[in-house]
Amino acid sequence: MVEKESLMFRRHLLFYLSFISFSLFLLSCATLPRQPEPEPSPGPSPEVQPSPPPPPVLSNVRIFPDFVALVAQPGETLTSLAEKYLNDPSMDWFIGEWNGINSLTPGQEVIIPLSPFGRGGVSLKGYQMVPILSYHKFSREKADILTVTESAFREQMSFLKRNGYQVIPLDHLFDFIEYRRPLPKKSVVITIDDNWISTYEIAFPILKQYGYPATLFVYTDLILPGKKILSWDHLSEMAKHGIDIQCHTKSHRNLDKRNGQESFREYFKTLEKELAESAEIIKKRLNREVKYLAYPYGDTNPLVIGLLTKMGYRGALTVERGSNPFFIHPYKINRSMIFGTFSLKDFENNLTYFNNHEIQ
Amino acid sequence: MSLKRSYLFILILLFYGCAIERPITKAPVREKVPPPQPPPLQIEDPFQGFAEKYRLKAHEFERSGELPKALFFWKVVSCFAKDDQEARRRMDEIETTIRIESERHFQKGLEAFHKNLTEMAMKEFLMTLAYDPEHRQALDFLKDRLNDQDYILYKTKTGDTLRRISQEVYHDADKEFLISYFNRLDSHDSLKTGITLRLPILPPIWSAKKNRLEEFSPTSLNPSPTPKKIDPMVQEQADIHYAKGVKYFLSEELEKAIEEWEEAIRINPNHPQAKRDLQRARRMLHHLRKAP
Repeated sequence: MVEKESLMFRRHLLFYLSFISFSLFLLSCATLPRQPEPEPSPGPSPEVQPSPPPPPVLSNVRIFPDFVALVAQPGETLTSLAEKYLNDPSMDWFIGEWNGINSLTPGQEVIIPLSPFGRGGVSLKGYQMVPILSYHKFSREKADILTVTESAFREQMSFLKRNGYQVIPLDHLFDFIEYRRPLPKKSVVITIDDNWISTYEIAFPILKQYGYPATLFVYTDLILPGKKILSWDHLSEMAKHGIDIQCHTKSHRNLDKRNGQESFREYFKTLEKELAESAEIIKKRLNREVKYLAYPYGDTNPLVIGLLTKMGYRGALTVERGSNPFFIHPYKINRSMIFGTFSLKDFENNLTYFNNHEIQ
Repeated sequence: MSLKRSYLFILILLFYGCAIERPITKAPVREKVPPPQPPPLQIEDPFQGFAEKYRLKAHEFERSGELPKALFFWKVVSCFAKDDQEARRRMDEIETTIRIESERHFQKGLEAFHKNLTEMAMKEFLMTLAYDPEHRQALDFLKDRLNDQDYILYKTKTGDTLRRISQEVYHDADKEFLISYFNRLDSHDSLKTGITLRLPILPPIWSAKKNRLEEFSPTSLNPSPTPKKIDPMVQEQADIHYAKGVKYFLSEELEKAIEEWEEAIRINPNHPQAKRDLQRARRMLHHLRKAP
């Protein structure tokens, strides 16, 4: 009897165990085999992706034959746009002027004309003029007609900055004169003549501080290591920092005056030497192209101009006071000498940038 | 025996059931993702407002008479609103006005040029460019024909030689080298008839020149006690000559410095620095000449 009961118990136990085991088996089979984990997608994480699908994105730039229209994106600047669409970062002002803005903010609507509008700066109200300032010598304290003090020079550079003048390289002025480039309305060019060491010691650091380009005209017979005179090392250093070194002849002789009793043939040979040799030396020593001449004493004549043209000079500068329209003779460019005795008002009077006499 | 088998079967089932692990869902391991960037500005139609905005600009430039700019902005409008009737009409009208006005001013400029009215010709050619900045002929007149000529153009005749041309143009046969230099000719080359030569213009220094000291009036050194007020332009001219004199003085060219200062005083007899420095330079020159 006990044995029968024990057998019954075992059978029940076996039944329950079978039931439990079978249930577990079914459960394990019902669990889906694991799928391989999906590879992380390179796109935005699910957290930043908006749940509804985004609307179709339209490009923010449209390019037409005459212009580019765009909506500014974060990180874009007038300079980057000028570089991208006009291939010239220095044309940032052009985009600014056409759109009436000084800087770019994301979302701003911008139009960029693809042709160089306003090349001669002519309108019915008048025409653009570009002043060229001509300096010679600088000193710490003492001023005279050819010597500008450090403080006056600094004040003049600061005046240009404060009053929205844009100092441009001489190359840009010649692009303007050749009717190939529009210029900012208040453009100005800075030039310095002669080989005085004060250009390096006084003017150069101030120009660097303001980031202004300038052209220095030197005569090659007097480039020596010394206390008062610029050396090739000085010139080389300045050339690396935005100072364009150009020609002021070989010996600084007046090209329009006869020397003593020299014959015409001697005069002509001297002119050739003064213009060709000096350019050759500068090119050799500084590995820079020489394209411009500042006439010593500002004097020239048709024969000198003929020689300059034949030798491939792009232009030459006098000291005739006044600004330059695009139709100025390229070998008779005006420059205004800035005297050390000038007040800031006198300085300002030499910055005419528009001839507003109605041309009608 | 069958019971034992049953137990064994149950055990296998039991172990299999327990051995199958439920998958553990872990957060997927991601590659390093760069910090989230601000999403690019994406507007449904970023150019929606362009046509109207630049229509206003076009009107503005038309009102101020800047027709080339107005025309440009009407073109912008028509690019964004293709069927815009106003833009089309305004573009046609402005293009016609530009054509008519630029041609009218160019013809007036030509007339003035032929009458030697240089100033008026310049204004008319500038007006031409104000209407049509691409007007090549107006540009050519302004940049070349109204400027001083740097060369004489000479058309060769039968029997011409460089010496003969030099004699005819410069009154000096020995200046033939100039003609060959500027025209890349060998002086022995025979000249073909009808070719155009560019002859440089000789500077006035090679003609007879008056002595500036003789020209100078000594009375200008002693101005009247009540000096007249100097015109600023005159003053400036005098200053330029004074500065040139200083440069000569610094490069120890006393005679030339004196010439420039004399010129400064001739223009402005009351130029104090020029008077002072002139006297000093004359004294220095006098001492130098006396020196053995």
